[in-house]
Amino acid sequence: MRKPHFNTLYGLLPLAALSALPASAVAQQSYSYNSYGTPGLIDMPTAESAEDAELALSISHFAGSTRNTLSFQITPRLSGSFRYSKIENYVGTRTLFDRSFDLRFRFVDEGRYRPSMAVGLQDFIGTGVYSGEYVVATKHVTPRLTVTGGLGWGRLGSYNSFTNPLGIIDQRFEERPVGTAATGGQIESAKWFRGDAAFFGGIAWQATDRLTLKAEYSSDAYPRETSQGLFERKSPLNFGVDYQLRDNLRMQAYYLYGSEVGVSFNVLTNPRKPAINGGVGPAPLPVKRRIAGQAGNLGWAGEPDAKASIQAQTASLLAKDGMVLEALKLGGRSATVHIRNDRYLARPEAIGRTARILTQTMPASVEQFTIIPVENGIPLSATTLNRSDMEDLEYAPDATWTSYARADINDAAGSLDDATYAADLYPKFRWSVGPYVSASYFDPQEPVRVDAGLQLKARYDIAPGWIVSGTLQQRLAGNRKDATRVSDSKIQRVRSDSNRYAQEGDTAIKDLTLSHYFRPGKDLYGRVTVGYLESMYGGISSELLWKPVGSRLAFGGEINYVKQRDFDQRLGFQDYGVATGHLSGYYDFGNGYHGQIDAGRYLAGDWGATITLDRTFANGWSVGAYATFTDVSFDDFGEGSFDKGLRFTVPLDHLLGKPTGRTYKTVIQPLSRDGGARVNVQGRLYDTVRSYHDPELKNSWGRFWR
Amino acid sequence: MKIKHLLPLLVTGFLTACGSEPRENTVLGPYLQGLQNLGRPAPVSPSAEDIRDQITPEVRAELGGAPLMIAVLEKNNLASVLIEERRNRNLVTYFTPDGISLTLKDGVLVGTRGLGFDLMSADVADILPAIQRNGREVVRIHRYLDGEDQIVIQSFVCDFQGRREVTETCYGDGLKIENSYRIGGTGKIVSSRQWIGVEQGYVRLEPAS
Repeated sequence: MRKPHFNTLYGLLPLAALSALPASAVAQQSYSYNSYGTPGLIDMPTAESAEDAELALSISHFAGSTRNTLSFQITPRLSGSFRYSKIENYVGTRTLFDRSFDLRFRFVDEGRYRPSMAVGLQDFIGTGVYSGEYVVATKHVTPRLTVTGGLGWGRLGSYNSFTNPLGIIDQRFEERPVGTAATGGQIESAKWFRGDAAFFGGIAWQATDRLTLKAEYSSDAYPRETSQGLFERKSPLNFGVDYQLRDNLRMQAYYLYGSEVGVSFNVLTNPRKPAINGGVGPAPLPVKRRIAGQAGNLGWAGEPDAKASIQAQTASLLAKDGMVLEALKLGGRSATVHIRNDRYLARPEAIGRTARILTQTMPASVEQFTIIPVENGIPLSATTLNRSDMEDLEYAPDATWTSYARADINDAAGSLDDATYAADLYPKFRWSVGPYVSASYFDPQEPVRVDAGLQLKARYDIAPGWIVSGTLQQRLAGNRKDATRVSDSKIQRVRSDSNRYAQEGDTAIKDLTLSHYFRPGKDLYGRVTVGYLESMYGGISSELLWKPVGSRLAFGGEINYVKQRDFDQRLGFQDYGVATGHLSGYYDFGNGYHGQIDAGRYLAGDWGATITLDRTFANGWSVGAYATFTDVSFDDFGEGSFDKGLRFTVPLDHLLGKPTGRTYKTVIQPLSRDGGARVNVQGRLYDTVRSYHDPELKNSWGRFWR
Repeated sequence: MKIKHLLPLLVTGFLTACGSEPRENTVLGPYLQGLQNLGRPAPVSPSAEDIRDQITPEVRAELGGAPLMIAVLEKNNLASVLIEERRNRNLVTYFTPDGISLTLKDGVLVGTRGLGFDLMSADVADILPAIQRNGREVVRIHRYLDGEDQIVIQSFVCDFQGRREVTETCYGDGLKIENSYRIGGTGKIVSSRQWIGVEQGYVRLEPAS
């Protein structure tokens, strides 16, 4: 079963998914990662940036501290990291679990004599265990030897420190405020670059293509860890060896502070480098050129069965390419086909393959092809192509650009009004049984908990745009129900009871809904969903989206009334009900950067807004971060102060190197609490609609002739 | 951590996943296939000679009398029969039985599909006459898809040498490529060795009989 929301398998371990990525050809790189999982020396940062868009998952351990870091090179200059660390005996004999975020910006590129320079914030949101700031310069003395020197504040200015030189600007820089907000999670900008400063530095020598030797002078005194007896800091000098095991796997060993041995691993991947460019898998049908002089022949139109046989032939060729013919309109000179594409994430490939098929099946007099992709029964855009362009441009040197320029992409509202649907599409029942995995993260007692079992999915397409669908799950094994943490929320418990749902929902109706998708008019898309929307909420959800076919900008509105479901996730409801909804603005900034603002009322009845920024890739990847601020005070929200997280979409095609149409979506929430929570209704319109619109179509038009 | 216990369950889960529609791709599919093949001898890929022997008059008749060729991908020495599928003016597209296509323009390779790292198109307008006339400093332009589905261009400058056995030597983008063509009596290319791209290397194209 491969409809869009069926395609998307939520909740799989994102880290496991990352580490399973194929060895993308990481070119020989001159930088390596430090114990904080960012490009650097051993404990200290350098001014280097990772390769653009690189995702690095690092695990490092020394002296009772384990740091798990996910770093992303957001732009060629800007990188961000999320870290989940464990420090033993940090508070008395208690182990501390800590979440931290870093940012680094490289503001000077390396020149012939000039070093590259970067400024960084380490642990800039949170309880500030690792907080420190730095300005650092790195220069390649030879292609294989780099020298780094920097100035650190906070943790990085704690050893052999001196009065802050920024005191010249303002005396207040000389004192660093102590303490953080009790709930953590706030941006502690009042402390940045304040208090004593210290120098750090080091060298890295790439001895061979795989082996790098590093030495550094650390400005981190580790006052807390040493006073807690975690280790003895005998020396500021650290030494390390970095070895590249495989293209995407590195291992490091360190000798730290004259007393400790540490190790770390880095798993690297890059969304820009799929396993196979363009993918493997069946070639498209070649274009069939008409015999000269046949184009005027309209004789076929008089034959009684002509249309039925053309429709059957087209449907069968589309099916071979993994697509479904929904409807066909045939005129003497033009043909309009509605297709359903569950295979090609690069939408132009679906359009191109369909056009090639039409050159095979359409009578010679048909010169214009209009191809309209349909999802959930609604037409998403109409691409009109000239058949003679298909004939002339096949393997033409500039076929990609010319075919895009000559294609006419329009709104498709109303295009299905008088269409003849293919037989046996409606009504249609489909089902599948398969495994599922659901995980919870960041419980200090067990940072990762996993449940697994079987799920039955069923879907009944009553008529175009009218769908009944449901998911039934049976848990077979796992440890999510061992979680004993009780919600300490001061506001309505809208999400923090997730443990109870896991405990009582052995056999659970995950969702069971009736949904209707429709086109109210040009540029408008609508959805209404009624039923058990997700494991914790049921009710009614309605959405309206405005998205012109060539627009970078879109607006949407969603209004829901939902009630909290019983913990056993059968048919019953609890007392709590809420009207929730948002107005959303979406904007495609170009170059893959994409922004979204949702403002409205959240599940706990709190009002506020969510800001999301994503970097998206034409091949289906996206990596993003969001933050939600509502009128729930930071104190009432509790640990973390406000809701924030990272979200990832990984196309399966990237791993397998062939088109599957499937993606993994996951959200990592460092702290899942009750403020700023939204209902998870399936089939939200924007992502589906956008993928068949410009500029998305243009961005992946290279696949039109694939 | 009890993840270890989950693994066998997941594997069997993926194996037994079923439904009303054929499930073409699962995450573990390729790995499972690899497991199933463990212990079996690696399949021996047929040589061009083996394939030529298999093309009996009966096989030709079964293929509807379509013109045939034999292709050998040099990097893994994989040989396959090529079946002519379609002509579009002077473009001829051949398919392998497993659905990979190669397109030739008057015998010169202008595209592949389905191999991965495919040659999307080749501008060989000046190459074709140069093969006949031993041209010098002739431009050849290749187009490929990069990892983000954008078209990237590689261009080469080529020199030609020979009459019946023509060698094309090209330089560009830090690469040297060497194509060769054997010209038949009618002036057409009978067999050749042509470069597809960095990842796929060279393909040898030979007549089927």
